[in-house]
Amino acid sequence: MQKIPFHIISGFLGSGKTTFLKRIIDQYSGEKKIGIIQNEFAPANIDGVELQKSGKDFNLLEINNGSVFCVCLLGDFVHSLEKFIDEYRPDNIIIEASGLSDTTSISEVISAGRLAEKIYLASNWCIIDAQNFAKVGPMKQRVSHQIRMADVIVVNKTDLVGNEMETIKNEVRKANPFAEIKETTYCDIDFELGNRAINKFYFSDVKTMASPEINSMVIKNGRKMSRKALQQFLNEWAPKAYRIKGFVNLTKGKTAAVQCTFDSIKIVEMENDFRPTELVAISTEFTLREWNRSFKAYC
Amino acid sequence: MKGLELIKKAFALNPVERVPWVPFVGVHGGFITGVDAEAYLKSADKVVAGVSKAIEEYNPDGVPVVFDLQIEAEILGCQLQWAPHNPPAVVSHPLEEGVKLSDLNVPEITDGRIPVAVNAAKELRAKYPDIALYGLITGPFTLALHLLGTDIFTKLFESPDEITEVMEFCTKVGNKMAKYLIDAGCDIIAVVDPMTSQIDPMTFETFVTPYVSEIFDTVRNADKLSSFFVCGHAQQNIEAMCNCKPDNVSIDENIPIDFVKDIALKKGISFGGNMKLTVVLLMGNEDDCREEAVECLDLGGKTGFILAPGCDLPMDTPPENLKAVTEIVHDDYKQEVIRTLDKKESTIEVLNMKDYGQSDKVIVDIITLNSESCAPCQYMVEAVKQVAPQFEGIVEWREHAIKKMDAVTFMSSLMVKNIPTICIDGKIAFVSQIPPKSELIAAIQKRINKKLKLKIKSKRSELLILGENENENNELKKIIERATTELGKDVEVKIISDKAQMASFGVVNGPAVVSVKYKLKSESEIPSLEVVKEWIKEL
Repeated sequence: MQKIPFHIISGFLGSGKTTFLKRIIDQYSGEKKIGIIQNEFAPANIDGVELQKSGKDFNLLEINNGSVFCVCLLGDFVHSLEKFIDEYRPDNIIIEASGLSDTTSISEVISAGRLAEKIYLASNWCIIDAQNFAKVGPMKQRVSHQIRMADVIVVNKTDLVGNEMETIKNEVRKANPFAEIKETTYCDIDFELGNRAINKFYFSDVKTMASPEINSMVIKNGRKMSRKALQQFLNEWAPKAYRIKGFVNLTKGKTAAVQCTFDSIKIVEMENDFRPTELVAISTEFTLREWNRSFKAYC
Repeated sequence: MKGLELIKKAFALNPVERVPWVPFVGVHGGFITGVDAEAYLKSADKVVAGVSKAIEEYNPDGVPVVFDLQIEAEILGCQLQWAPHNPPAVVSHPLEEGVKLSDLNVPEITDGRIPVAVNAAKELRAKYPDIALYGLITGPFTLALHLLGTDIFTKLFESPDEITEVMEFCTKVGNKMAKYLIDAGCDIIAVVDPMTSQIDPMTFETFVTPYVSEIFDTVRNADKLSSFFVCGHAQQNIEAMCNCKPDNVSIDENIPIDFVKDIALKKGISFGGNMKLTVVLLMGNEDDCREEAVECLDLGGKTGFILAPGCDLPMDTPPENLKAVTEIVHDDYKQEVIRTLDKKESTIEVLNMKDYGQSDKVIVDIITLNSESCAPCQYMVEAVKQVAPQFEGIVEWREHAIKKMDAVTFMSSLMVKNIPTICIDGKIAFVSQIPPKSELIAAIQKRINKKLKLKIKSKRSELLILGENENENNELKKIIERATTELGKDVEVKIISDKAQMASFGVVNGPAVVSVKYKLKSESEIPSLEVVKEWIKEL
């Protein structure tokens, strides 16, 4: 069975996730079998009902628990998701992750164990509400982690802010120097499903991927590496991966933001933000075990 | 040292011989006793059975009584949605639905499911006086969120006074819950406030610090210990958490443990965590768990550190995984083995050992960490050393200390996973345990007997008569045939009379006799270097 692409759409309550989901369903239902996962920690179940009212064809998995918020509860999420996949066999899965969700933990569990044999992480989107984000402080705390690990950051409701846009973009860049930033209103942007998403993000100018055996994998730990060792580590693995991205804590107390595609390795040093090292790779050439072993050897 | 004592020592920041281990067994206790989450969390008897089983299986230094952050919320009017494999979820928020704060009362000890926790604590206290019992209460901020719903985040700024009132009420609840659990016999009160990971330090200091600090004071005044549990991305608040003056902070995998260690120790507070819950403990295998445990132990160190999962264990965490952690915690040598292998394993080339141990002699390999510094390894080597001479040269033994790379290769090639291990002719015979002399002798003898049997079965021999004189050759052949008949042996006799062929055996003048023994060593494959060496040695 070909692996199913899994997409994350995160963002805090009211940022426009459900609007975005509706657009995706409108665009693809009929053409593709879409599986949607929503967690109803927030009153997202209302959105669930609303989505179903649209009469479009998709399957919905509702997580009863705010599960995707805390790693303690991810175990149950794994079981539900597995069952959902076996039952509906969707072509694509999209999770609407609430503002409380930890997207790295989600990426990590879908890239491990039996789930990894069925799905892979295809893209990670974070939607921010320009108006709220501009209000500084507390809001940012909650979404900063989602911004950090996103491939695409959608700044929504840009019509509600004036010249704060540049500040917002700078803030975003500070947390995630490599993400693509899209500005929009009413989440009116194109979303690429499945392998098309991979092609788009991971090697826009390379031919379509042939092999179905894609693995996504996540390294997350408290280890640190020297800048030189990081370069060597990436030199070894980047050519074998469609993409490697994330953050690595350096021995000298800084954090390195990393983004690699086949032939390019980009490292930007940032202030240490005291989170664990978090690296995501997408590859057909290696497994998490091999990659992780090698990572540890370089530390 | 008994668990409770050890934990107290770690909390007091005194260096410990062994890091204390506290598996956060919540509904997992139901899993290991065959009860679903709902039945489990509603019955003190079932909790006692589950925790008792966990104590038996995981040999912990401390355990939570129940891990259920919905007890208080349920009593205060939040509706719960029960699930068979998870603690219940809070699905309604009374203050959001029009209930007034003034209508809410601080729970009595007999309310809702408080008796489950209190009675279970009492019974476990009586049953296990030497194990640290953690009494968990819902942190005031998380309880406030249960009561208010996600509105709390906007209200923090739009109506801070309302939040302050709710926090005051939740603190009263917390103080009361702490008291109930202390009176029931708990040693440590853990304030579990995961939702604080969602706010920034300034908000934390305004809306959490004063309230949580009050609960820690209550615990201190009762002469008990306290811990502040948080999960999620709370790195920004660790210092603020320490400033609330708990005796311990406990975190999950989202924060590097050494980061917390630096801050906590500076503040004179112990710390704990942060084994990965889902990817390792739930979904990984025993080896993954051992490695994870060693990684945490190394980062945490032996001062002020408590090894624990990052949060409530997923219900169906495989018990073998937790037992593997227990084993690592209690065994320095196993830790050392993991450390050594971890460094070397990525570059290992595995040998083909299928044919290993087919020489005449029986080869006993002892895989050790290093018999000079590792006591069990030393005893194992001694055991073999003593027994080997009794076999008068038939048994050859070697030590492979995995501090050296080729020994690691050898170990991996023989699929040995534990140290020390004895292999007899390449087969794992004794793992970790030093065998009694009689057992070791019996095992070697068994192998000798088996080899003998094989040897008898596979032997094929020839006698070659080398000579140019046909008469002499025939005469010699008759003698040989008579001898084989009298001995009852099956030996083929061949005559070689070609001078050049005779010379290849080093024979110039006949008659000469050469005996030849054939033995099949391998078939339809290319044997490894290591294996061929073994054959050559016996020639």
